[in-house]
Amino acid sequence: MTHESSAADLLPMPNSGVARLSLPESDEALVSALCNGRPDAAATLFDRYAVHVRRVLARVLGPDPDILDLVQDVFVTALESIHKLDEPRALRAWLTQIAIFSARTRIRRRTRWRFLRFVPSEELPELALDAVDYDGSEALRAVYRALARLDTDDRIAFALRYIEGMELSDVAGACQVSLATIKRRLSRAQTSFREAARPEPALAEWLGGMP
Amino acid sequence: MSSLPELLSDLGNRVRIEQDALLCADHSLGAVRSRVLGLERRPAPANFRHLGLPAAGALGAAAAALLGLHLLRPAPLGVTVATDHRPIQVGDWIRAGASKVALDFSDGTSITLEPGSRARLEAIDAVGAGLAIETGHADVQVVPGRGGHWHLSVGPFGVDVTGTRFDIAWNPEAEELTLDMHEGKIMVSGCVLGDGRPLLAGEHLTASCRDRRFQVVRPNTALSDSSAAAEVAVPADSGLAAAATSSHAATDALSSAALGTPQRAEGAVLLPDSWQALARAGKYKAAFAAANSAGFELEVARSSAEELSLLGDVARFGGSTDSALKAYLHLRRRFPHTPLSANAAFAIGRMEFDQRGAFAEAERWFANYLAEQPHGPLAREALGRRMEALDRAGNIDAARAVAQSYKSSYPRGPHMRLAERLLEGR
Repeated sequence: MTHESSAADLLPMPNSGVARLSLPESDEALVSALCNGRPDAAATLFDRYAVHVRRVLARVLGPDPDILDLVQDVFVTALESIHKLDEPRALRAWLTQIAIFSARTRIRRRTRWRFLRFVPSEELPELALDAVDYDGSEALRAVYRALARLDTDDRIAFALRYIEGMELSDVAGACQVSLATIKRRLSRAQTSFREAARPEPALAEWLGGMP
Repeated sequence: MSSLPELLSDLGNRVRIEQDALLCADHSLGAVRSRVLGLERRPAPANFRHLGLPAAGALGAAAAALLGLHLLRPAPLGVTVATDHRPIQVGDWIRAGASKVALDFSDGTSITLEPGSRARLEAIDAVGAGLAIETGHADVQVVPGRGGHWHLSVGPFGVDVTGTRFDIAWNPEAEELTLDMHEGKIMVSGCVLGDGRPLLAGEHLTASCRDRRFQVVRPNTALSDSSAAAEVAVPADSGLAAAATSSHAATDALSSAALGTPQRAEGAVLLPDSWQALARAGKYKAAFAAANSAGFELEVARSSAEELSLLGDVARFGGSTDSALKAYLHLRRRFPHTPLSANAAFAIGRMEFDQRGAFAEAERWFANYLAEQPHGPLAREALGRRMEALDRAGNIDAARAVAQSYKSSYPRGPHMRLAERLLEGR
């Protein structure tokens, strides 16, 4: 009936009265609490998944000054549309999908700006990399420079599979496409990445080992 | 030499390790948390710096408008414990120990938990609330005629209420629901009851998901459904005895009970193969055949409001639009200004739309429903259907006006896509 019925048994309730429960562990119960407008549910959602969402965004986008804004977007979107979540147990996967959607929008927006400036994309430095004082290694930055030259969907599949280390089925779920589609994207991404990485000295070590 | 995927995985591992170290050292999420929790009920923020000032201004205005709508929304009902006026919040558990605990809602509705009962407030809004009864017995008195919508979760069963009075009990050990109707009508659903069965005043329901059975009993009457059950318990003094009587006697009893009262079946005998029993079992084609056998016109003439509504549904689901129209129109003539009459208007509108493609007619019936029950349980659907009917009828200006109203009232409604299309002039 409810997700908290067993928790209620443990309550030190008075003979008659009202008891307020701490939020339960399960995602189903958290979704129920969110749908019902329980005041502390939004904070619990954020505390439970903010790190995951930021990590997914970072994997796909690399160093980007807008990642925190995107984390905010993801959670506000999720809170606004939580009632559309059909399967509460899939809360984490659903948040991942929203994060991927936000990341894809961000990447495409960058691409549009390049187009509007009438400059070939390969001549443009990554906007994000210029804009942030980022202390990652040169190899890390080179990886994301190379990824920036890939098709957006291929890039996302690559980042989730090889950087985040997700299973193929999970990558397909996060991108909301079939397994076959993800395999095709990854195949294209491998080839494209190998080509895009050639001008990057910091990746020469890996390129040297590439078949 | 390693394969390309292996090499890429090695490279990805290195990136991941370095990224994780950087993310761990970054404590900026706290500021995001504050912003999210401050904005949680507002529209998703746009990344203004990428949009330019005009777009940002437009979005800002839209956000302000949406926020305004949010503020204009009616406030949810209040609920307190009757004895000490302590406010109850969504998510709170309420336990009645040795004494009763009465919950008073600000619209006048009252739900009293009997000693030993436990329940949880699951939801509350401007027109009703959701309460999960974990165990025990509750006396429910929902104020009728205010377009309210209340939902009780009872084990695997659900009870939808608009305005009525009844007693409900749930025994989680036996997994048994019992329900005594005192006034009005409710819809009970779940498990052996499927998508929903109406329960009328005077009826007593027992249902067990574990035993796959349910039973509806009236004074001297038992209606039961074995469609999903391995066995059906029927009291010896009711249904079986009734089954031994002739259909003629039963019809007479029904007829005499029906005259002059909307509760015509109170105390009457209903056979298991009567159209009412078949309809409540969801066997609409068989029910329609039974109603025709009994004389459809006769049934229309002597049915109560509840039964006319049911008879209309039986004919509609039985495939006869004309018969359904007859029952619904009769209901509207005999019982005007009632929620059931408004429901009949909605059903007629749906038939005009779906079966006849008479969109202008359909629009008129949906408008009738809205005029009679502006906050009724079907109001959202009626407004959406009205908009759709106007659109199909080619009355685009009127459809747009309804779309604006729909967007304001039900921004997350199922017809929102159509409303947006109309408002965008597509």
